Amino acid sequence: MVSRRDVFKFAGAGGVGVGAGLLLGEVNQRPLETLLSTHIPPEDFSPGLDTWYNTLCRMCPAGCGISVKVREGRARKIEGNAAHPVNRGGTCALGQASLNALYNPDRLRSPMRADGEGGFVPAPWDEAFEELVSRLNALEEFAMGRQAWVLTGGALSSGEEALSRFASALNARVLRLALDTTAAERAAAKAMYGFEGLPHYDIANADVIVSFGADFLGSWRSPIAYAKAYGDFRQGGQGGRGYLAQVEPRMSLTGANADEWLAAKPGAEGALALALAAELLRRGYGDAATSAWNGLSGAMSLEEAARHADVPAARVEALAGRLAAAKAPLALGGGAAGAGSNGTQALTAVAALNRVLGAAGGTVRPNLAHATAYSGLRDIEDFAAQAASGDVPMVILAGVDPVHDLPESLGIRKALERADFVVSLDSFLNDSASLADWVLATDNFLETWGDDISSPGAGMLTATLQQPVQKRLHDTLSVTDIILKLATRLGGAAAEALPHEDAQAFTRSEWEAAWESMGVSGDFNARFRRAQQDGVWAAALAEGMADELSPEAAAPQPPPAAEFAGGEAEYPFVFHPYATQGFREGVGANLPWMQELPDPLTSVAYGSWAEVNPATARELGLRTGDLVELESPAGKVSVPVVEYPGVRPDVVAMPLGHGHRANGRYARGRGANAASLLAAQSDSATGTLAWAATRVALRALGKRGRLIRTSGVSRTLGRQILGPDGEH
Amino acid sequence: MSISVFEAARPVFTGLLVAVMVIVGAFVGHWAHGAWLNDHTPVQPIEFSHEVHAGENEIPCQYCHAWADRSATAGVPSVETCVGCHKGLSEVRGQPEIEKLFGYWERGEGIPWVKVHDTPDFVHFRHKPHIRAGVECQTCHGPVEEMARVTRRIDLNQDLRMPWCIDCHTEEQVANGRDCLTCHY
Amino acid sequence: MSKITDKLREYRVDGYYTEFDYHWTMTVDLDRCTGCEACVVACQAENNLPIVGEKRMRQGREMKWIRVERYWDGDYPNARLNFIPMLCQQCDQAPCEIACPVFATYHNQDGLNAQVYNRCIGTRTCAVYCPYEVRFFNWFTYTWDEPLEQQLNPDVTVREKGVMEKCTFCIQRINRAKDAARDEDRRVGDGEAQPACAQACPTDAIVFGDRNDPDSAVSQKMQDPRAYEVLKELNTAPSVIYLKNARAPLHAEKDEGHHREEAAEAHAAAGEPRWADSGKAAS
Repeated sequence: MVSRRDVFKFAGAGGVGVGAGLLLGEVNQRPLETLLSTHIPPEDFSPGLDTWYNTLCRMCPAGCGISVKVREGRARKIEGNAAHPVNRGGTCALGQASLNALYNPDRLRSPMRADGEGGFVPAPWDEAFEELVSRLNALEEFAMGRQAWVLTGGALSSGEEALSRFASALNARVLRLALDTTAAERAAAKAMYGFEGLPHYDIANADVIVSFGADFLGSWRSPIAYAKAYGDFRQGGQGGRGYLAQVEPRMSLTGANADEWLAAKPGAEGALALALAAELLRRGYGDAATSAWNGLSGAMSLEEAARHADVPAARVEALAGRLAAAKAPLALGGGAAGAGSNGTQALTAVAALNRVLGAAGGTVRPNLAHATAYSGLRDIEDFAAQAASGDVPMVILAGVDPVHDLPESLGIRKALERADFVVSLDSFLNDSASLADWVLATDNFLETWGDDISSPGAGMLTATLQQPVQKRLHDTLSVTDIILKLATRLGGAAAEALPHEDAQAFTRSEWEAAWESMGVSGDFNARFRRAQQDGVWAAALAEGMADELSPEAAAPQPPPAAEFAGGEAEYPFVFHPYATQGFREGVGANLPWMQELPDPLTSVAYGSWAEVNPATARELGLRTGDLVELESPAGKVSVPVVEYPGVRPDVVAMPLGHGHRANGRYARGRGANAASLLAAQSDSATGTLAWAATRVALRALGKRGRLIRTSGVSRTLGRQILGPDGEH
Repeated sequence: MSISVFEAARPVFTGLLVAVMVIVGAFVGHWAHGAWLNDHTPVQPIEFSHEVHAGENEIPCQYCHAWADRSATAGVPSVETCVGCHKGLSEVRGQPEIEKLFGYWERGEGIPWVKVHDTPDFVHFRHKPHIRAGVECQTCHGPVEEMARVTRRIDLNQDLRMPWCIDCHTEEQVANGRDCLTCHY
Repeated sequence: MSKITDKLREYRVDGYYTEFDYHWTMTVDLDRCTGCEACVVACQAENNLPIVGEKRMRQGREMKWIRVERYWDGDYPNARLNFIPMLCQQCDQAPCEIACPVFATYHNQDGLNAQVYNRCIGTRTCAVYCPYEVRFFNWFTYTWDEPLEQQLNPDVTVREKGVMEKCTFCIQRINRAKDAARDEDRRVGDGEAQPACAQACPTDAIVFGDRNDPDSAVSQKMQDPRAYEVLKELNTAPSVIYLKNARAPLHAEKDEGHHREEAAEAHAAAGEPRWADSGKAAS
């Protein structure tokens, strides 16, 4: 039946199959991988084993200590430094994501020169230095009274000291820029505690806290230090579970965790605090100094204040009762409460409440670090005016992005466009750097030397040392390195002021000088090595220092009514911008982990949004996801709305930090910039920017916006998710 | 003349059978490749001989692969380690392969060795516990001291497949030795 | 209920552990948790979770082994937000383990719910069975924009298209701690194995340890009267124990004219399905 021919056919077919199989096996082999050997391995290199370096986190001004896990020469993971007094081993989402900044695909890899057509081309360092030096020399010869400007972020660090010395050698003016200038809080502390700087608040040992706008668990001052303390305040503290009341027009992360949220009218927080202080004085609280306040006769009664702030009087009464019964009460003031036109008076009223409660020296404690004195509106306006008249020959942007982070109405963008020459020292081509003539690529903080003094810190003087944990990824230098190299090349006064070789040498010399001035004895090298290992050097408060917080103080004046830019008829809503932990004023926007992290309160990812009260939304026929236009006297943006049950019906809230025009692929064009809506309002007492004193109008655009939310049903619907029984 | 259905369908049957043979053959070929022809002997950038170093000169494995008892990875020696000895070995200077080494040294480069032994995906092999348990390097890597060019021998460890690992873990009664999460994560 | 459980155990296949060597357990104190999401990013960094991108995020393909869920209570002005971190509960009677046709997910001797990528063939049944919705499927082989891949943790694999993944209680850290303990011929001490989320947590809300050690911090926490299991009625015996938030109930809502049940129903009627907003987004 089967012919010979067929047998050959089958055999041939089998042979072909085997051949094909063999070939497939050969093709399917795993690709060759290489094991690249090191040339000369560093001493601390061991493949497959973690090496840990203690250093400083520079993602926000809090100054937390971190331990970085390094494997095969690359930073892989950030952990909190358990020995650091500020964060005690904790980290925040933003700190964890700092690795995204280090390895960011859009980081500048070499200095960039503007090509005159809106683009940038890579250029060698030598060319950059030559151009800068010739510009700076020309400045000296032909300036004719025109001054250069240095714009910085104003950290309490050696790097900032180098910048200051450089600026004064050049006779340049320095602007220390921040949206939240801390000026109101410093003024209040000076008036009520007789103390220069930012006080330390002992949250862990308080039993009743009333916070006026201070989002201390989110973005205010030193959130990780406060979060650590908050954990103990809630559970495991000395006096049982603490009670937290949050007074603010929009529920922040802290408000979401509070035992009660009082949705006070924007600008009325101060009056409420002062009314509480007056009530407690009436109940016999206070010390010798406060007894001279004549019972704060100018303050409102609790009922008046409650009506003024549009909160239930019964709850304010109850709160006064709680404060009166507390063993270790504490009042906190900050955020938008201190950023209105009456911000300083409001925070002074909060500090006065602490004085009446006897908290000053108890839960309010001094702090050895001074605080940065940020520039006021007048200085910034001066800069803008000089630029407008063509009198700014040079601007040095030292790691700041004021074009994005500060209100457009301050005129910084225009000033940079008008200035003769702008150089930005930055890791990214951000909104400000893209207006520069040169952008000098800077190191990530994990690649270089530096330091920071934590302010407010955690009740002791805390200096954190920053050291490189890995080699530079790209052809970059740190800001301090650039300044030192420029000084050397310039010669003269600059070289005399800054004779150091690099950032490491400069940091060492600063630490040596600081220890010497403080009378810290012992072998410097050993001590510095120790600080490098520990990542931190801390000194406790001197005995009795806390008592100095109760000096004679003049009675606080009732805060004047808050003033807002924009009339109520034309702009019916008070605009409430707020910083989130992940984005702050904009630092998180180019980090993919931050973009992909749902906002804890609204669960929005990738982009920004505006929060309106559900009742307001119903009235305007809006639902979550609808696109609206927000217009203020200073500008307009369009964003999708989110119906947010935690915001007053007469307030529209919006997160800061989004809406970059540049700054890399993750940030560019995502969301809208809340800062661009802010008018150039000032705090009447300090003359600094009042960033919560603008009104807006809201107009539906009749279409849906791009809103990504990860949450599903936002109610438990009787499911046993949050625990058995009780209220759910 | 009768009409046979079989005869009529014959070409179809033949065709089918040919196809089946091709497929069976392909399986056999692929299996044979994996079983016998998969010795992996890559050409290295320097013709380094383990036979000379580990065999004739009896240099202990961990002199160069120094992290084997401390780390997940045994590690390849740095160029500095090689040169450390070879600087003093004037009798072999001038040989082309040795000159290659000094070439890397002088250019300040690492040597791109080609990986010979590689675990499959989603597996974490850790050297440390094996070395500390007294497993000889040769158990997995073969008689390296006899190899002029290192090869992965499949007759020895079946291409580093899991049954081979599990057999040993079972025999030696390794703690959690049969738990997936010991290696797969 | 326990009788049913015992019966179920009888029918388990051989090799099912009724007693565990270590019994890794996590407690999450909701009174300490602030919802800050440090744990979420710490997990993403430690476990090589992909950056899925805006488009995939909109499609609901977020990959987060731990997430912070938020639940509203009441309405303005008596609104209150509650947070709860949700991650694989490492159930001792896990619905997912029964579901997997290829035994890619199983329970090991340390009370861990394991997911073996090599075995997984991507039927996604386990994710359907999971009442906590904490299993994530790799629909794509995700890549990192160069040089972001240099951050990847070499102790953890990078998963590829077609496999399911979920929280492992940072098994790489547990294994490392066991390794160190074995060198000294002892058991892993309390606090030596810490998952990334617990280590990052700034309020120490997350505590991790061995339940079999009565002196461990986690055993102590489990004694707290606030301790409860999420969706206990499903009888999954989770290894993540939550401590209930100790906030007093909201202010009497009757005075404000609100009715909780009504509000809940209104929300259900309005239909806020998962990903509803993102799916319809257009512009």
